[in-house]
Amino acid sequence: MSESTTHAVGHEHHEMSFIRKYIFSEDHKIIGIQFLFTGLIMFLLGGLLALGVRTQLGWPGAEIPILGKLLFPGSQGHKMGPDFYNMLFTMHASVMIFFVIIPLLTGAFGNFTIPLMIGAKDMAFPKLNMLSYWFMWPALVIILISFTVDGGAGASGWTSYPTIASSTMPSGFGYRSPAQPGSGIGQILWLCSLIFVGVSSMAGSVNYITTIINLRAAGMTMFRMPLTIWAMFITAILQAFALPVLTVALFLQLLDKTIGTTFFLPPTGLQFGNWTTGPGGGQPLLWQHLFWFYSHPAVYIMILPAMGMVSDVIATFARKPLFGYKPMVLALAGIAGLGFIVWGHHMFQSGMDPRLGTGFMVATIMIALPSAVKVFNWLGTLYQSNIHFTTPMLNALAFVSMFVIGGLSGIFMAATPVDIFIHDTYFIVAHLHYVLFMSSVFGIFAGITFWYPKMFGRLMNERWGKIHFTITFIASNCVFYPMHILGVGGMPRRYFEPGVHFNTWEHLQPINTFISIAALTLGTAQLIFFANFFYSLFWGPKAGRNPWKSNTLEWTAPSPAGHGNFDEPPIVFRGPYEYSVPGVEEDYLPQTAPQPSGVPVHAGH
Amino acid sequence: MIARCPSGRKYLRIATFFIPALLGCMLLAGCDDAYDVEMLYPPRTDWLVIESLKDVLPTRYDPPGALPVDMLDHPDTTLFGPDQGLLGPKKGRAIIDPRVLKPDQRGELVQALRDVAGRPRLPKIDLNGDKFIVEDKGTRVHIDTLLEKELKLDKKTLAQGSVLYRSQCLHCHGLPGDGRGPTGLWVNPHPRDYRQGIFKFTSSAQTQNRKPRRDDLKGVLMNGIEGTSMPSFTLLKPEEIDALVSYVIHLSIRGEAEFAVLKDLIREKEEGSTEAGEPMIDRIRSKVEELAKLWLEAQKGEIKPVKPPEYKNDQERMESVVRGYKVYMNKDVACAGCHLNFGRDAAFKYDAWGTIVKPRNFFSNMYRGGRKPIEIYWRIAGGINGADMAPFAKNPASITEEEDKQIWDLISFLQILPFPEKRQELKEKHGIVVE
Amino acid sequence: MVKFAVFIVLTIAVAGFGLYALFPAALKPSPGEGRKRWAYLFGIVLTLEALACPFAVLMGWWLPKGVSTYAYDIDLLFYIILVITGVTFIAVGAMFIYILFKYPADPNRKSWYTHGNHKLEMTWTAVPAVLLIVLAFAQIPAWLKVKNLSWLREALQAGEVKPEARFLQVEVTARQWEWRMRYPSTKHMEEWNQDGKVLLNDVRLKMTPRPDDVRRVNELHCVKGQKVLVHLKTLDVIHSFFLPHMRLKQDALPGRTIPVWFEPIEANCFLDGNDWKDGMRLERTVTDKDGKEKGVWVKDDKNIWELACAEYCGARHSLMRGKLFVHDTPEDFLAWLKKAEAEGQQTTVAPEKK
Repeated sequence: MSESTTHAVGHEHHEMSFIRKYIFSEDHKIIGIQFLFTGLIMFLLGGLLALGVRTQLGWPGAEIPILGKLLFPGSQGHKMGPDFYNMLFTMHASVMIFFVIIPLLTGAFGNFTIPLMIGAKDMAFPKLNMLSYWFMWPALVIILISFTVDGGAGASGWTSYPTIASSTMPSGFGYRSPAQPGSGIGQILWLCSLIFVGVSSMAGSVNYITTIINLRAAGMTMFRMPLTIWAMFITAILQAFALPVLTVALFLQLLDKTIGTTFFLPPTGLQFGNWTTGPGGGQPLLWQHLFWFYSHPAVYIMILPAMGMVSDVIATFARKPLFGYKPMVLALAGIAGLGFIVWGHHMFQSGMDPRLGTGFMVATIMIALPSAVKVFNWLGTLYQSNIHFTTPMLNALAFVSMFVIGGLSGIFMAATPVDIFIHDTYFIVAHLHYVLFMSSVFGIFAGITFWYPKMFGRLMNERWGKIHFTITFIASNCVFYPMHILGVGGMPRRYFEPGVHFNTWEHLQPINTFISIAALTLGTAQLIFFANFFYSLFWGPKAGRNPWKSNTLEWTAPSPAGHGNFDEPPIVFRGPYEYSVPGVEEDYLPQTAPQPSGVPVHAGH
Repeated sequence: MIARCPSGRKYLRIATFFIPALLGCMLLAGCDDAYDVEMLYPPRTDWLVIESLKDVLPTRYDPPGALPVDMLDHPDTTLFGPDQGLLGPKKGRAIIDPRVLKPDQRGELVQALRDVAGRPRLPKIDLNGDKFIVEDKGTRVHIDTLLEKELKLDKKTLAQGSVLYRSQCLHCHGLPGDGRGPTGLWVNPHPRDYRQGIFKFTSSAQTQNRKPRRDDLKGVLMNGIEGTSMPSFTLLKPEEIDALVSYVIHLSIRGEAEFAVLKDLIREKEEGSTEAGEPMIDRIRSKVEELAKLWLEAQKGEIKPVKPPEYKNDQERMESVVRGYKVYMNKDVACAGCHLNFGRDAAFKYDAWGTIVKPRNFFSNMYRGGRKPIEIYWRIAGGINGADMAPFAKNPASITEEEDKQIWDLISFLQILPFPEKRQELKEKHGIVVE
Repeated sequence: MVKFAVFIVLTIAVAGFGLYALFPAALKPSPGEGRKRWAYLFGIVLTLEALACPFAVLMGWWLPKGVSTYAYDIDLLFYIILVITGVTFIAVGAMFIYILFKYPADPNRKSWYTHGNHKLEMTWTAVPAVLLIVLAFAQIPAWLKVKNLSWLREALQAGEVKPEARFLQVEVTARQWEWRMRYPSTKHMEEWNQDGKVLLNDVRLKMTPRPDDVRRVNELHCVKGQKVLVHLKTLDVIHSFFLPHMRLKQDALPGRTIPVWFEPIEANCFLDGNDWKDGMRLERTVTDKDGKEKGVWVKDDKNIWELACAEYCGARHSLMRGKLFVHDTPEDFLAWLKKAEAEGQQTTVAPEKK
């Protein structure tokens, strides 16, 4: 890393050991980068698991060259068994959601950008911040260990529904499950790991909310904050309110699995061949309510920060103010608020009272509205602008266009009668990957390439960034768009061999093979990104303070920013999107720049 | 703001896209869903159960993930709770370890089996040589021909069966049909281990060493086994089911030949005999011939009831129930000796495969071997192999009229046991209390 | 395979264009032709996606045939939403591509300095809002019709069922990894036919097991034009009863018996010799020389209607295949039921079929 750091004025500085400076650091930037590195490594793991899934789906029954003999012993016919496949898709989703997207968006970008963009020296609670990162490590270790235990890692889907996930043998049989091998110790470890992730996120969210409310620089009113910060703020509120429910649910299932409570075991008991569980006092549907009460806001946690970051990237590279700042903020709040009352749409077919489903349906359809408003505002921002097609901008544009598809496909599911047909089919898989991979992950790529100079003082290579973008864009569309078609045909998800044996879906199997080939391309292309990332760390061209000529506060700090962030405490005079101001020669006007003479003040809100 | 790009690297860029796509296409090459042609059946390393274990009494079912016999190698596991070490005393007597034999002997055995039974991708039952000519309906024909004709063990059917087995059955029943596939360890009852040549639900009219008829195996595939993880395979076409039945018979013959020869070899080793003994290939061939004859005999016919009942009305049926009750309670018949309290308090036992079973609870309305009256008849008349259920009929091939009547009455009685209203009727109208 | 090849060719074409965009000209910061390559990239991808929908319809990769009474409602709603979202996608996509083409950075042009337009915001909030609310409330009847079983609630309240409204009841128990069906015996069906109150009583008691019940595995039989009420149970984990052709899906919850219904509008099986064959379509009826009406059935793969599990339930979740047999007339169904009953009460072995 570059050594061009300066120290903030009036701050006692003392020589810290390497460990205190870079490993057990309380500096939000280091913690953000730690989250970034951890998230990126887990991204590789999650991607490999996905490739495993796609290999099975594309060529069911085939013997995988080289890896097949290593992973699957002869006694299994050198073939992926269904239990292994179930573990793959479960862990792919779990790793991607809890160890990649949430840590990257909230942990990495939240930590890094919040103090810098609001003009603070660091987070409100630096030690809590450090705790928030280090709580991820037990989670990581546990989830990685779970791959090695008897029965394999958790295999009940990331949704971990009882009773397949929660049923345990009566005491004295080891912590094994009568339902499937992966619901034994692997499931217990999965639950523990997620509890740690939850604590980490909750600690982080408290920190963000406090920092944003209390530590803004002089002149930085709430409505002069960049949209990234608004998004982080609202996301943190979502996390703070929703996570406790997940943590409770995880504990309940953990108790069911370890000490024989029956929160999710019905009074009639269960029968797995010879094994019968005793009678219980609970019901499986309880888990679904508790889980989805968190997990629906969770999906908004996974998209709102990206939306905020993309707004900033687009404004910067379109050299134009964000269209409709206040409506954008209201839309973020609307999505988050509505997000709390729609969890039942994951449970329309679950046996929940259908009249309750009606209420959820109306609320769910309404969520399309703030999302649509945001898309229109992004288009408005781009209209009559000056678009610089840099790598961050390309990724942000991909976010906007792909989010349109993801959002529109969501309307089909919100319509409960149609959901009867497409629930638990590939249509859902298509929708969720459009909003998670092709929106959130493109948002992450946009954020990484945009803030890389601020983080590491060097620029990522534009050419390789564009190559990576192009291949990822094309390949991901080839992977996930056809899944809509599979879903319309009714092909169910989580199927080990979907296009085999069923007359209804046999003719769709070639599409699966096509998707798998595209997925392999997509996976390989990510190596370009990683190569670019690590190469640029050491040999990328040095970046100045503001390589993108952006307005927000972080670009006034050195690249990389040092301890205390700014040379002197910033004072904010205007909103963050003053680009192409008439009367100003440069096409941007930073938030901290004094007002040029002769230019009318647009004070922001 | 943007890095300059030196020219000449565009070929690298193009390659970056197409190489992964080509790699993907390469994988298409592996899309054949049969076993790899080089795969071989592994040598048997798990313990052999050679004698009855009926005097060992476990207290509960075995835990997920482990078979009791396999845990003999891990005596320190606590998974089995109070049943820990229960089978220990049987080691070396009723349960023997094939690994005591020398590696080259085991290697010879594997080679001999390969000669006769082939490999997973190319299975066969091939008894070469003129000594295997038998009499069949007055003509002399090679036993291989008979196996192909009667048991459909021809190479083509077996190869097809092998592909289907790998995709449908392998993950539970394991590669050599040992019941120890990755899923198989985690379900209870465990999948059948074909290598002992014992099948529980058979209808063949043999008196001992009963083998199933093809129809029995087909029935299991079509209807599944209720209350176990063996599902119904109606998702397959009829010819696919036929191929699977052939392959299962192949695995059973191969497995049982291996089992028998291993038993002999271990015994010879224990007795300290120093002579070389018969050549391995001959041992295998003669065992396979013996088994083939048993299987062929089984196909000859099923247990035939003498006079199936026809109940004209409910009253007649109830009278049969009453008679059935008397047969059930008869001390000589001794149903209640194992099916304590009509099965509700039955004790756990080890079966012939070393897994844990319980005599059926008649109140459960669950019939693993099928709930059709004829199927229950077969189980009562012929017994249930491997599970210590003795045949009711002295000679299943020819059942006496009295035995026949008793069995039908017994069946009527058993059929009403799960239904409270019927038991109530029995109590009120006939004074028989079954609670 | 042809379809597959078409897809591959299209992908490579798009990829090729994408790479074309990476030629050095595109990377120079100066304005000019190069920038338009990105607009082309987005444009081609989005256009292909828009075209993929009609392409899929043409290739037959579309909704399976809908053969229940409410399949029409559900499919209609699907198409309405498809049109709305399709139009929106095309409009937004076209606007997006237009912007990318028209506004690449130009040092001679300054961006339009505006912070928004209140009127525009209100319009594009209000119009979708109204559309969405109308859509939301318009679907409620269809949803409640399928899931709330209003016809059954009414019948239970009235305490009687008219003869023409008699329905079939079947208990379906899902378990790892098959579907076990329990049908009433012919005698039981007679009791229902004679007295609707017995039918309703069985609804309340969820068809208490009787010794003469007919038990089958993985095959669901019903009658064209007659409602079927399925008492859905599971013994072990959550499964989901999914009949794609009936547009029906309902999760089975351990500890509960959930009532599910559908009414087929087309038959797909007939007696061919000794076996009931599905995957058949009634093409026409002819009157034979005795004046009796006979159906002419043809084989049609689209009439193989299957039952699948749609909630992850373990190793063989993707292999829980059942078949749906819809009989043409109640007499056909009774004939099958009689045969099934006889099989279930078999006391001899049928002679082996050659």
